[in-house]
Amino acid sequence: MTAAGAEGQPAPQVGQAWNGHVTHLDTTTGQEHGHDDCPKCGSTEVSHKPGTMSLVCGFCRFEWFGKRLEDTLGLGEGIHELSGRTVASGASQIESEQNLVTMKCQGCGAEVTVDTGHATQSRCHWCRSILSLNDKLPNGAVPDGILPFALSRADAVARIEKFVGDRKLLAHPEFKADFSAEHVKPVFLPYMVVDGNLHTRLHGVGEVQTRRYTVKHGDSHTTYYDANEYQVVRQFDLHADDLIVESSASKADFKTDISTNNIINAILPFDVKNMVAFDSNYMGDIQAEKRDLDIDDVARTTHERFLTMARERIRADLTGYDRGVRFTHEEMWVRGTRWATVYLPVWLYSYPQRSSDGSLTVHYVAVNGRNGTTMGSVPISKKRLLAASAGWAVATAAVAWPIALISLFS
Amino acid sequence: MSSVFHATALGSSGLDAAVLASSGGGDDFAFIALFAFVAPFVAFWLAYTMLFKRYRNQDKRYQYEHTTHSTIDELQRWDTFTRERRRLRNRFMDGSNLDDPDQRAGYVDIKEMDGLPPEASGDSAADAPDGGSDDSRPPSGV
Repeated sequence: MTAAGAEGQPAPQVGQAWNGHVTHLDTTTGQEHGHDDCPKCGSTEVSHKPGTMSLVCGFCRFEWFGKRLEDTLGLGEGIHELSGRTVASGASQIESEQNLVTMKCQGCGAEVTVDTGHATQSRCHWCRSILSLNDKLPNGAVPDGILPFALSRADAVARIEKFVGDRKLLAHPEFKADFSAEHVKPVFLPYMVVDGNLHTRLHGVGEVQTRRYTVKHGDSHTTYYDANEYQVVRQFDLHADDLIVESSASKADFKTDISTNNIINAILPFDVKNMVAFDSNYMGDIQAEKRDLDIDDVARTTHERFLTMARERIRADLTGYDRGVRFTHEEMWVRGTRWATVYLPVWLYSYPQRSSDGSLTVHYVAVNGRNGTTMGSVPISKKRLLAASAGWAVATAAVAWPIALISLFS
Repeated sequence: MSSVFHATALGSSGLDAAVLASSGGGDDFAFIALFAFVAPFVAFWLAYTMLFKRYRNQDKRYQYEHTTHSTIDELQRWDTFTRERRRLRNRFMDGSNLDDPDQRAGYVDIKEMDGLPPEASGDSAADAPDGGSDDSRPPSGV
């Protein structure tokens, strides 16, 4: 028993960060925070052109596209060669809790503060020009990429109204009275996009049916099955491309008895292949939630998702085991991963519900800001739910109990 | 009648036994009567569960295992016959988790490998800077 490992180093502690080889993927811009001008006329009145991937100058109407990260950084390529962690600049470890960033306006020299916990732009209160965060920050507020909204507000409102409208009958009366889809807000939520170069080995027991036969016992019959049992092992490489993982602690908790975060999770995936290099002008006035989880915080969840993907992918190879396979051992070697951060667009309607015991549950109806996938949690009235269920029971009894009586007296 | 009350007291396994042991048309009617009597309670439970699920959607989640693009390479298979099993009562084997990929097996081991710096490729010692026991090479077989 020694306190040092084979190479003379102390044993790793529980919770100690992973200490392997990291390759850095530079997505910094080298730009100073402040003006982010139109490349044609120099105006700072730049905004996202709704429904497109373009930015447009509000002064000269010049339009241009952001750079696709897939093209500029080669994300999605060379997954089978990944070794250790490859980390884009926006996914670097969070080293500061400081949210307020002061920028010097290049127009008038004034100092303007932006709260990076929610925004990446601020308007100079003296000369009215727009000041932007133009490079990465150590607090996790500026991601590598962004997917702008493709779905209009009117479309999102219509989808939320339909979703809730289909569920109004048993909805909580207070929710019905307060509901207005016009309160939907656009928000950018932080995620990590992860590629994985993985090796998996699965052990289990499988059974193949060899015979099916029926045996008569008096007036009844019993079906029996014979089967061959096998020890099953599958070993393979898996290359995963663009797994999306939550990187905000408040949205990564999926305990459905106390939160409805699974609703936001359920509108994934997004077309992250199309994400462009982060540019504050894609956000404009839209609020964002800052990333507050590091790679070490989400690595375990990510690896388990890779393992689930491996299990799903191998199913097709085991269809011959027609009585099923019981996996007993799962092993995965994570050879290499590539991490990038991204802001994804979500239309969000939220409704806080205080229950009788004082606990608060925030119900979400969320719409994917790219493809319109809609999911929600509608507060339900317990009394109406019990009444509706009782209605079904009574209707069933009206049919079934006469049959029961007839059968008993036959 | 007696078999009906016996089955109710025993629960579903007792019910199976009672049904298997049944030997007359009268008992068949008793079984139908029992089924019809229980049906409204089952309908209540089903309606409650389905309606709650439809409103709260607590079972919904990101189906990453279906939607995330992935490829498989170097697939190796071992299928070793162990024994023949006879007179099994169930159509499917006990504990099959083939169709539940997010249900973890009893033993799970995920190792994140340290990775090789490009200039040190081929030097396996460089792969274990923390003195850990992980083998950086893939397993060589079973």
